[in-house]
Amino acid sequence: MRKVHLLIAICMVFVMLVSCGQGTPPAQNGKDDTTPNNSVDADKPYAGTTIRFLASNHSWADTVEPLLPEFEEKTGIKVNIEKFELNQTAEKATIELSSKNDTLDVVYIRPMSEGRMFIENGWLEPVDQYWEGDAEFDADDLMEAAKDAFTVDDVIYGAPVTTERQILYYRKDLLEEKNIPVSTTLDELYEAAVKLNNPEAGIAGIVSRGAASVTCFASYLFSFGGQYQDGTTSTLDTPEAAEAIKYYGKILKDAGPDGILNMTHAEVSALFAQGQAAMITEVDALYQSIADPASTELSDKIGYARFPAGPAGSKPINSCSFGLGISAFSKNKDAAWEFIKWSVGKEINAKIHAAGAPTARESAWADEEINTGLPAEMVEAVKDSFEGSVGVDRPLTLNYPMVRDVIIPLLGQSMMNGGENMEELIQNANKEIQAVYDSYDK
Amino acid sequence: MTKKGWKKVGFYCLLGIVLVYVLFPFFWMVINSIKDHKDIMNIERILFFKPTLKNYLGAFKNYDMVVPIKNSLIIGFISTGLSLALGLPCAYAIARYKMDKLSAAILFVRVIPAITFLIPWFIVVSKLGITDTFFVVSLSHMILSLPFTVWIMTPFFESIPIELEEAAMIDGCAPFGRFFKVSLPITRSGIITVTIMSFIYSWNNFMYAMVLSGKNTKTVPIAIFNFVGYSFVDWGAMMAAAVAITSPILILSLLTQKYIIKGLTSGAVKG
Repeated sequence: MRKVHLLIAICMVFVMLVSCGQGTPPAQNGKDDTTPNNSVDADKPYAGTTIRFLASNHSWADTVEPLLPEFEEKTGIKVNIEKFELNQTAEKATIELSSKNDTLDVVYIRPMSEGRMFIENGWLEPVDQYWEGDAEFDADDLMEAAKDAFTVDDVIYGAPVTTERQILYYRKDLLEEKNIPVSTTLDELYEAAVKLNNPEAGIAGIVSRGAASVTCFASYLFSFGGQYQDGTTSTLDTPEAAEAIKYYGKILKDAGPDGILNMTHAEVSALFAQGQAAMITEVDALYQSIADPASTELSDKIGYARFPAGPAGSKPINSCSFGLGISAFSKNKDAAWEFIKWSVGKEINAKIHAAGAPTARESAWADEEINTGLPAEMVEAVKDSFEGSVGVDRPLTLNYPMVRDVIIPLLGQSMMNGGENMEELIQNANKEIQAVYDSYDK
Repeated sequence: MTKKGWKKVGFYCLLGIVLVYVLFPFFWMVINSIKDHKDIMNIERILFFKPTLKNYLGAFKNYDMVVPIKNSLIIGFISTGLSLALGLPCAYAIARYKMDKLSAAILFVRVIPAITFLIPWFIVVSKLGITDTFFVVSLSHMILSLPFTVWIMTPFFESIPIELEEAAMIDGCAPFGRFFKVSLPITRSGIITVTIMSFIYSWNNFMYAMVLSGKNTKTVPIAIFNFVGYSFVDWGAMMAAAVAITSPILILSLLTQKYIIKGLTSGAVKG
């Protein structure tokens, strides 16, 4: 009897080992392939290395993926790209980096969301040490604001790949019908929105995020002369910031659609694409959902303009949406840098830019020939937005969710009140945010 | 109308409400899977639109859903198979030899939220360098399916009269023979239930698959998120893929529902 038991136990262990062995992909585990192949020529010092790149479903990564064989051909480095939904990538990266996993080499990062936490925790390798003095890579050509997003104590921890700016999308036909010029100031924007608002016809004068509104409101805040913070001091209670909060609530109450409080970027862009709003202030990166012919039949009726000016001028956000970082625990850091150098380098960047991803290189935006992925009118509006734009789109804190959860309801309240009776609410919210900075950032 | 008549009307009304509640998401999924993206976004075309099969072609051509479906099937079979191979003898032993402490320990594992095991699991398998393998992902799905198997099956084995096994013993049947030849055939409906439930659990598991799988073992629930991009959600293709992946489970459940209901209800209170 014992023999039978033993036999079964041995069989089971064997089955486990076999299935384990079968499942292990030969190239997945970088460790097997880490040692550079000494027999290859000097042009390919990392030939034979495999790097693992954790990416997101995003236009940049989608465009770079089919180009990877070129890189592999050129350097002999194999790139295993894994793409997930944005939040999944962030969660997966957080788990892998927090457990010091050495099989992750390059990671796709949203500098404004999880990037800061990654940097503060020491999970990312500085990248400026690699690009210093590299004239071919030309790091000066990368937008200053985008590099700032990855900078802590003058050290840059990520190579920015894409950027986005808030612009004004408007319906040319509706504006013409009522003989309204394109708004260049926030006062004009309010007037135009109220005139265009036509609830009977199911068309709102303007739409902008009612929920998840922190980054969207930022352009309004900056244009009024306000700021989210001054270092670790919350500045939402300044007169400028208070004016912006009231304005945002007032314009959306007087000329916004019903149910605005629950609308994130997905809902507002769908609403505009369906022809139910005359204007929208959104980022250029959402072009695909807002104005692309695949999403809307109104594509040719849509115009684009720089974000209107407030008392402090027009100060739209111009933030870095994604960048590439090298894991501090990677065993292939040099090979990982080779990949970043290639993919963020001018040549490949031009290809990606031409495919419609709004990249972070100034030279790409300046080159007419590769600005083909977006409508010419939009490219003009985007280029027009660079000057005077702001690189930060939200409060910088280690506990952003807590701050966000104070700002969004405050803006929502302003939308409900139409910007009236906000003083006390603003003071209270400012105190709450200050408490978060005090406990997490000081 | 008679009292009985009213009762009938009430019953069907209630049934109608429940059906609408349960079936509406499926209805929504199916009609959106045959709409163009523009029509999905257009509130005026909720019911009247030009149907298209473009989404189905897109879901399988542009997003490659075939590999994740294959991966999910492999992982589902391995985890269910191993859960049965280990869980059935375990449940049998607990039932026959009255191992109450062991069964309490197993229940305890089932009660702890599965996410608790996630980080330790990841650290262990990443140190061993075996993340993104079918075996590891399957094993992680067993964290839930194995205790489930043991817990559902124990009352089944307890309900088998000991006399049956004694009769087999008199005829010269060894313990393994009694287990395989006597007990297992009698508890068939229970086994079918746990098999299907374990498989469905594995098929739908998201969290473990997300952290432990990678390029080679990406499963269906993870792949579904491929339709969600930064600036664009491909609702049509996502709905088409959802129809394609829910159908097998739906059909399987309908075909075997007789056993599932019997299995879930009969084990515990058989006199």
